[in-house]
Amino acid sequence: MNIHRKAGLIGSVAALAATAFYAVPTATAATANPSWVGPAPVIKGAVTGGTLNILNQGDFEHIDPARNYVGGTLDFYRFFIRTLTQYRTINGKTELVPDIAADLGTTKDQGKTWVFKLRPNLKYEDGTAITCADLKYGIERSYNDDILDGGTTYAHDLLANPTDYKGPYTTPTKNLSSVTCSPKGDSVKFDLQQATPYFPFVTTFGAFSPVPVAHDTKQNYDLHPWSSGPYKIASYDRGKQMTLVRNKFWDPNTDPLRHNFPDTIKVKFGFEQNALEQQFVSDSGAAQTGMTLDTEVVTNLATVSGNDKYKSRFFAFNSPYARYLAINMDTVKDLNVRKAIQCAVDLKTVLLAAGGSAAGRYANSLIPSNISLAYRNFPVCGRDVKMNPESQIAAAKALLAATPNAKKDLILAYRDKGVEPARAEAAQQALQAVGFTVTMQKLPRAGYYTAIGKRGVSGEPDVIQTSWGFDWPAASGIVYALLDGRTMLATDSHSNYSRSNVPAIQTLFEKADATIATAPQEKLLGDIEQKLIQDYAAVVPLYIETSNFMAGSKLGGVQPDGGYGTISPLYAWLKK
Amino acid sequence: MSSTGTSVPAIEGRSPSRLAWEKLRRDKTAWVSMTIVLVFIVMALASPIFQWIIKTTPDAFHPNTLNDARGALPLGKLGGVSGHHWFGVEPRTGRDIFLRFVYGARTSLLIALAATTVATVVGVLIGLISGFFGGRIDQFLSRTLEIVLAFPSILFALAITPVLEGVLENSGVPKGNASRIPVMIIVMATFGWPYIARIVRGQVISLREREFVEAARALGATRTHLVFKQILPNLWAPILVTVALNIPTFITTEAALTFLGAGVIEPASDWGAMLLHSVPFYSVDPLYTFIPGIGLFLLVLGFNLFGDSVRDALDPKSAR
Repeated sequence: MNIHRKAGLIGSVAALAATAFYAVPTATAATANPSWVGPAPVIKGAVTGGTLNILNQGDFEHIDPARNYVGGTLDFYRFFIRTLTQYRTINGKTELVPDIAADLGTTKDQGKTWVFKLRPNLKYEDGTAITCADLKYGIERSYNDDILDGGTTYAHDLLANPTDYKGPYTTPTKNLSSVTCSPKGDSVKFDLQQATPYFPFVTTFGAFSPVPVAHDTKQNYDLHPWSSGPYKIASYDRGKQMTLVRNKFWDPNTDPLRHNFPDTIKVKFGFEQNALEQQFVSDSGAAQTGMTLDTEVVTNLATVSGNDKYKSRFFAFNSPYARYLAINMDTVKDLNVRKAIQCAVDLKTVLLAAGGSAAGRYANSLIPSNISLAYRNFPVCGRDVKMNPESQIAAAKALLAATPNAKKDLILAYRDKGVEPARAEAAQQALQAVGFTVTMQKLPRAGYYTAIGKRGVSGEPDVIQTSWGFDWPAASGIVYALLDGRTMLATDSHSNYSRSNVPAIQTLFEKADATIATAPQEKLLGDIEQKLIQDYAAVVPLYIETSNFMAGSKLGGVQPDGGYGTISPLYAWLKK
Repeated sequence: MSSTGTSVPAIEGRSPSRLAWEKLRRDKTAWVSMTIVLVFIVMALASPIFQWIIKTTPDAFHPNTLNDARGALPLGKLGGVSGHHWFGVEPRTGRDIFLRFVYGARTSLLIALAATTVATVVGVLIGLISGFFGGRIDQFLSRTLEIVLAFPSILFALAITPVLEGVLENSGVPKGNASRIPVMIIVMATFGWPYIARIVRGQVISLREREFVEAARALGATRTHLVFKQILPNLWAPILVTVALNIPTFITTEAALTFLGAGVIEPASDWGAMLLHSVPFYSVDPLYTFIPGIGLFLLVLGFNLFGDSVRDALDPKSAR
């Protein structure tokens, strides 16, 4: 489930203060909000017309809403896909807004059933009406992930399924009983397996978008998803290019977050990293009126960052990724040894190995500071890591000295990809400097997350270098996945790589489950995370990664999107 | 006018090896190339001394030599060249490039020489057997040799390395370079022996019908005696040349394998790995790419030129 797989990311150079990019919305209160009604807020200076170029190295993995699970594409395909709820980023502030829904959902039973009102008068690209039945069909399709692979599994994981429904292709006679449309078709009700307070975040994913049965072409739907947004696909030559033109049936008055400034959007694939970077640096050709969704500035970062010449078209912002070391609590049982590891790791050499302060910002927590309801700035190993990221050698040595028979032989597992080996070496050196002996366990890219989750195997690593990209910008999208030991199996830790399984913490998790209002729940999850880091030394947070992108000089409205942590073309417009 | 008397040099009998040596001694290219090769060998052998002089290790990070705000590139000119770090430091880690360079030479030479030795022994043996016995044995060995030559060696090496490594690890060899380097040597030797075997076979076929072999055979010499005492001593010249020309091939293969990820495991120093790491920085820190590149270039050139000179010296027909 470690998502937002990004292409061509190596790490980088440059510094830019990323501004706070989202405020976590309260999902329970569903009072109608005037800003939920279209049209989207005015973008200052934006004009209509022209062709927006999007230049990418690789084609989109999938654009079928049931199959797409890639951050940049989730952001981009909002041009033609509308979902139940969606993120809106205006002036650096991100909030959850209803998209084809008219509200953010209401629940009367602590989040076990959710009812969303639906927006009236929505139309597809052929002028036919978008119905509640289409939304239900879109969700049902995602159950056929044997045929439609690649997407999120949230619909199966969360929705109740008493009749063991397997998708419209497998069981065309049945339907998913947990999704019900009101008789008038103006609202939809979801029955969940258990109380899920963060459900309105989950409904931003493509599985919760309407698909007309008449146009469902199974796997081929990936070539032409039926548009509900401001653009439609005019042509799509896989691996080469895609052209989007205006969808005249889209009504801005029904959409609180989208604009349609360019006349045409041309997406071209097949560029080479360095050549494309160079094109943006020199602002030449199509790059002048273009941007890229998958090519970060890497080799030219030293030239571009902090240079006034590029300031207006260079974007450095928080990615959704937290990089960290998980300490295996199964194999490193002694708290003092875990604390010694936490003290020994030198965040400075680690971040330098990744590219220095342009690659990320030191982290004391796996929750980015922007998630303000849950994040808190607590010290790790007695120091503020942002001020003092260096290894705390004396403290680590003292902890080891105070521990009789301390485990000093560690296995460090890391993935053979990009800067990750160099980062692991940095950690290895720091650990060895305080008296550990570190055996490096280099694992192949493919299957890495499966391998490091295995419990009770021979050569099970003690320290695991890993990362997490949140699926929605809230602690509920991070802490449950990474630190909750309750769903762990004897053979598989799932994504709880530190195998944390502390009874006192489980009680807190249960309390968080029962707390349905977003703000107090987020606070509880923040408490849990702080305790596990400070009192149990379950993980060593390293840094929150920064993304670095460039856009052409003739584009306005390009901005980082807080919902996905990607560079967004949604409000891009062409300067005359 | 002609002088009278003493300056006519005495005519002396000189053995072919003596002739070859004198020819080699007069060859300037041979001297230059030999010097290059010797410098690299001495440098590789002396790498612990350099480590002692510079007072750091090739793996040690030096965060203070890096510019945190500018992509962790080395501080200072030319990739951080200074009195302490003679060739600068590696971007992002600050590891000393000079030490990694000399230790990299060690890795390259060690693996190339070991692979050459294995390939030569195997190649000579198979060439001798194939050429001497002829017939079905020759048919079989020659076809095997052709099959091996027809393999896409680099691709095959990439595929077979993890497999062989697994076999070694399962039989108790420690993980990491302790099993990876032997695997590299085996894989490289596997694709190196046919070249030697083919040359040796050809030579043996022409030698085995010669009079001295016939004579020995008539005197009742055993096959072993014929092969190892009569024929093999006459083959050292072509073997020497092939060896000298094989080493540079193995050096580049070793670097290529490491570059492609089937080579030496880091943090051990290696030129192929240095080249790989320098790629993202070629525009901002070109020296980092040049150093391992020039090292490879000089060492390969040195061995090649030296091999050529040896061949010229050993070939009585070559006039230079």
